[in-house]
Amino acid sequence: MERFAEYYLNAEILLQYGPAIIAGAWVTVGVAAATVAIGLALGLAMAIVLVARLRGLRWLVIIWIEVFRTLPQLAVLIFIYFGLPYAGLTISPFWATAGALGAVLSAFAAEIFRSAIQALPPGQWDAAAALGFRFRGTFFLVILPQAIRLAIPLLTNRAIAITKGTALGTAVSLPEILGQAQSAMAIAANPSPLTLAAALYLVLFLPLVVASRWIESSRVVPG
Amino acid sequence: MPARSRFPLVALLGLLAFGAAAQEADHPANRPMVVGSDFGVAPWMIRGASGPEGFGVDLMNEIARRLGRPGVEIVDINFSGLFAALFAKRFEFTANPLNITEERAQRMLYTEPFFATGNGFIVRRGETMANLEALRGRAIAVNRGTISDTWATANAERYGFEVQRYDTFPDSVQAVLTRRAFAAINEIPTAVYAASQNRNIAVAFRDYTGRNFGIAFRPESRDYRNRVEETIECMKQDGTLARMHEKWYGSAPEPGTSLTQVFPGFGPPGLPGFEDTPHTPRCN
Repeated sequence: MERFAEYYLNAEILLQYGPAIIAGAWVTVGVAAATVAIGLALGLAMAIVLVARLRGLRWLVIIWIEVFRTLPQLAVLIFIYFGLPYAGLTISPFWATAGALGAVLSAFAAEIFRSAIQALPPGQWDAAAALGFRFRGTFFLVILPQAIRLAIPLLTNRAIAITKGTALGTAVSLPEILGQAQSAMAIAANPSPLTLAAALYLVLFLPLVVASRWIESSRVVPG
Repeated sequence: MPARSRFPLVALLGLLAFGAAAQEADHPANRPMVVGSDFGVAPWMIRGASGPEGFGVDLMNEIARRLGRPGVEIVDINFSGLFAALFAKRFEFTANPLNITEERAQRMLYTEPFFATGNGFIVRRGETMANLEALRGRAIAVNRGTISDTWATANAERYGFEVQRYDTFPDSVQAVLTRRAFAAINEIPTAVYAASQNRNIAVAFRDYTGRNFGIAFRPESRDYRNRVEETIECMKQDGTLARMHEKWYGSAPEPGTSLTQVFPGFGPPGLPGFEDTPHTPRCN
């Protein structure tokens, strides 16, 4: 037990390297926020393309969704970071990570939005048409608000699962929690920084999990 | 009553015997020697057609042979996870090109130094670098948690460069090739070898800092550390290390460096874990 404390709860090490790891937490928060924003916005836009049956775009969107649902997040990230510079496009570690995770999240989000839209009873469309709404009004004022409520539980789950992938940013030199902890651990030859990193992930993601429960229970249409 | 009073002593002896057995169980003589290293640091530890090969592999095989162990098993582990794995007893000691530092020596037992090194600066071929001042305003790629990382972190402000940390050495070189970083820093021998294998990069600057590689053990493995150190001292004396250097790095080692010089006592002189006990290594 003493050994365990020495290796995993070493106060001296934690004091010395804590600030750098906590600075990493802000990077993690930033990337996670950017990922969710990119993923949900792009996902919603693609769902609209699918439902509105825009012919040319439709195939592009389907290819995008299938590619990013299939590829591992790390593979996407490595490609963006190390591959794209050869094509003349150099993206910072922050945006490479947010972009890769956002692309993956967008693919899942698009499918979730689409299925939520299609799950609404066709009567909603008919009723809106009967009231004189055209497609645009029907879709944005009648269908979409209901579909988003249906989609929320699935979206929050998926968003949390994918934003945890911010830890993959260590592979492309993103100075987030895990990367900072690994550096400190190797320099000091003591794994205590990992304990702090794990604690910080809990602090960051536990409120997210609780908040998602709250959103689910308060926003979803009652049965 | 007498039997009763003897009980604690018996228990204590039993515990001591158990403790010794546990020590021995961490490196059983009839089992292959298990060591840990990251791969991809050519020519120290790379994956060849028929398994691991390199200077470090030859070194480990020779240590195992001299200890009388029936073989070597090398656990592949990223550098950033190396020490956690060592403390968790995933392997017996480290097998990668590991710098001896004061900070690390406070938590692990090192052998004496056996390989001199410093910072090698890898740049794209055609770029030049006269001195460390040339780094001002530029980005430097390092392998996360290595001594290059420590050096870069400590000197970033002084020389005015930005540090990018990658999980592996090849990734840090990739950052140079993709112009994300001006230079990648790694151990001089590693950098020189990498440049000899890739015509797009060159070693523009070498900074010998008096650093050395050593092998690291868990703090409780003192006797075992001393036994392994003896085999290394023997390899310095009979020229085995010099021959390995020639085989893998293509040249004989500089005279008077730690590749051939035997240090008195056990462990790194002047650092925690050093044991000032003069001895003549038992060689076989």
